Amino acid sequence: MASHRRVGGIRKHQRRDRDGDLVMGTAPRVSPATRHPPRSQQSASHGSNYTELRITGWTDEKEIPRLIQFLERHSSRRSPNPSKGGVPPIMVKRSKVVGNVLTISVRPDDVIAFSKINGFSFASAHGNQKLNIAGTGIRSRSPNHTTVSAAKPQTSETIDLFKAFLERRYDANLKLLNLSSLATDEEVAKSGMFETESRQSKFFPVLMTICDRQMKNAEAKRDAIHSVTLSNNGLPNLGVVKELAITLPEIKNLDLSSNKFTSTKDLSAWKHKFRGLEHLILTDNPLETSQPGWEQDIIKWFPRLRLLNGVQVRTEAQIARLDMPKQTPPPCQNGLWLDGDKIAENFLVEFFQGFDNDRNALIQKYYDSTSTFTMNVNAKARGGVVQHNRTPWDAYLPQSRNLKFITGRRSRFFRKQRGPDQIQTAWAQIPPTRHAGLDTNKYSMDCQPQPGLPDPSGQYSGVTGLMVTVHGEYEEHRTARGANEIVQRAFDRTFMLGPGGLSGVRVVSDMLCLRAAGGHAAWIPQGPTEVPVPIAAPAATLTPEQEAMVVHVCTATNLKREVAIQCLQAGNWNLEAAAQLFTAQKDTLPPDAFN
Amino acid sequence: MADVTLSPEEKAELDLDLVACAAAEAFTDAYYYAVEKDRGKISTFYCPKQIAADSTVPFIAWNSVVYNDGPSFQEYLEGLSHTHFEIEGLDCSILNRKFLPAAELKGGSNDDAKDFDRRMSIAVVATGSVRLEEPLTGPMREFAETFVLVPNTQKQVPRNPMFEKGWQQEWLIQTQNFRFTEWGASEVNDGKAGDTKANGVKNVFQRRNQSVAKHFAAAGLTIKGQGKV
Repeated sequence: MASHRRVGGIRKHQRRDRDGDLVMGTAPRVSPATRHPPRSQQSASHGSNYTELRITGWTDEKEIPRLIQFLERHSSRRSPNPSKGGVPPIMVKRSKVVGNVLTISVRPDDVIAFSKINGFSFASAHGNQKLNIAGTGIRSRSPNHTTVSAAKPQTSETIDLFKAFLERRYDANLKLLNLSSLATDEEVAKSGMFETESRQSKFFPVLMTICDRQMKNAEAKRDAIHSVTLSNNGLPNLGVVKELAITLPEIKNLDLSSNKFTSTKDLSAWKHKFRGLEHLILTDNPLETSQPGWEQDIIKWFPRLRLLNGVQVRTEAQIARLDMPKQTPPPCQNGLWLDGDKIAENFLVEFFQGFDNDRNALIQKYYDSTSTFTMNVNAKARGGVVQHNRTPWDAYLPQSRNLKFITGRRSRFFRKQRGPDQIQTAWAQIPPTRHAGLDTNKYSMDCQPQPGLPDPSGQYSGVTGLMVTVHGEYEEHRTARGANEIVQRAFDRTFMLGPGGLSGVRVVSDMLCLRAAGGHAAWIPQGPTEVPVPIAAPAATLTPEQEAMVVHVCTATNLKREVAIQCLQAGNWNLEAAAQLFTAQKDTLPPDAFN
Repeated sequence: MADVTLSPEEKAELDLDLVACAAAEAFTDAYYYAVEKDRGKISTFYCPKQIAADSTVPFIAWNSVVYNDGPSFQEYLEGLSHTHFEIEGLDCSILNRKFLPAAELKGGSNDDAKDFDRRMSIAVVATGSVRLEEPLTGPMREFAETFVLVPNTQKQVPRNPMFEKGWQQEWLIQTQNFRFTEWGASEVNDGKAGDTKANGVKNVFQRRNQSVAKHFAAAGLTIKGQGKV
């Protein structure tokens, strides 16, 4: 009794929602039945291409016009070809009544609309009547709607079937869940679970849900199932099986061979899923031939993939690096100075003195007709320390060739100086400067070989020179806009030095970047100070005489104690021999060998 | 200045500079994107390893550590935490317009006086800020980096390339030098880098005049003989 009342309540609610106007009797339209007078009898002879639908569930024949009106109203709202504003389309083309069955003819396009109103409640004078529509193209309401009591045993039966299936397909030794060739599985075929397309699409999600229920937690899943094979299922994409990534996200091996994937797009649903996947098999899929380079995508998507189709794509070392804590680049380490002939060293000493005192002489000595000079001001430095010296760059800006801001092709070109005359003019615009001595800690300098520079003699297509990069600060005597002050500027300057010119060294290219000064803390070396060579003798074994020699050598050469001991040991504790050794090797010693 | 009529040589110069600038822009966009998001591709930016008597390329000096091939440098970068590079200053300069011998250019005219737009080597300097460790909150340092780009002999590049489709590795990195030029504010304040006393390490100029004999003499030692112990 109670359940009846509840059902009634739902129906009442439905009625109010869907056909409230019916009760109010406000239907203004002419009923379709009157619009189409009993043509129904002659309908069959027309042999038309209408679809016939059978409507049952009503009781009173007198209410047929109202019933048709009801159908008309609800179906037209759900019509695939809705009317635009005006009169709704006529949905029920013909109708006839045989016994307690109302047969209506509708356009095949409209069948879907009737399918949607199947099961609606019709408010007749005898109470609410549930209408049942049948015919081709009408989806039957799910059976459990009417047979609630019968559904339960059926469901548990299905669950048992799935459980049995999982049991059969699981290999505990290999920890493998074999889901290959699902369509040809005899038990599955017998049960009819794979009969229709809609059942096929539901099969896998249900299987996954049941698989999920079988295991307690993620850990149990991880331990129980290491591998899954989905081969030979004719999958064109992952639509049907994508739940696997949710149910079993931690599997290590996956076999997708002998399916119908034509590109990596078909697999994109599992992009960045299966974070621990180590081995993936994709053989015998069209994508192998239809998408050259498909491996690249796959390798990128699965960070721990070691084997793809049995081929190693990552080494253990590479995988191990993933698990290592990511490091931040260490602070500044020692300068890199590969300048055996002291070319760059001598050049820099002269250059910064010359730039402060006599720029023209410097140009005459080191710059020739093909030398270039460009300058760019980075006025918007965002990183670094909080307090920057934000003095305006007025005197520099007309020459600044910062490609981030200067975009006109001619402007860019005219801000590039080539040959002594242009460079001289450009340098004359730069205010007077004073660079600190190079033997202070205010610079960071690197010098490295630079092959392939132009040969001024034209003999070779390229000669090896030096690339010298200097980062530092200088003082500027600023007089722009009536100012008279000393300001601090930071610069990064790259010289390409090649052979040639009067002095044997010429500047091929000189590129100056200017920034607001923010201190020189960054290029003070912070690198490891231990000497890479192992310490040969611990201090305790030294005799007093040896100890004294070590102290002497340390003070004399500024060497670290450990290095001094090594040096003396190599010289067999003979000071003279040690001194000779030191002289011979002092240029090759790492800078951190010194105090 | 813009109305100045250019001589034919200057016009050729301008066209060449145009290509170099476009290359510098396309290259830095692609390279810094890869360093941030796609480190697996870093090695493709480098020229094949070549060992010569006077130099080995690629020569990658990154914060004073030298790497001599793309893959080993890529390996290093892959171990780094988050980095986000923002370029604030960019400039380029043509180093050697005949870097690639005319005969080696794919689809070239084989004339030594032509095709500079595809044969030249280009120096690119970029300065800017780099965010480390954490997006938005990590320390932000300043950096300066210099690249020398050389033509990729494996690619057939169209005349006067403008890189409309982005960087396709038309040029490869031959030498590179990276330096942090300023610490992030947070790093300086916690004293990690603010300490102006170096760990006793001195640059090449500070050791310039330290001759051994002088120091030995100052310490009362003579090179010849046993010396006073």
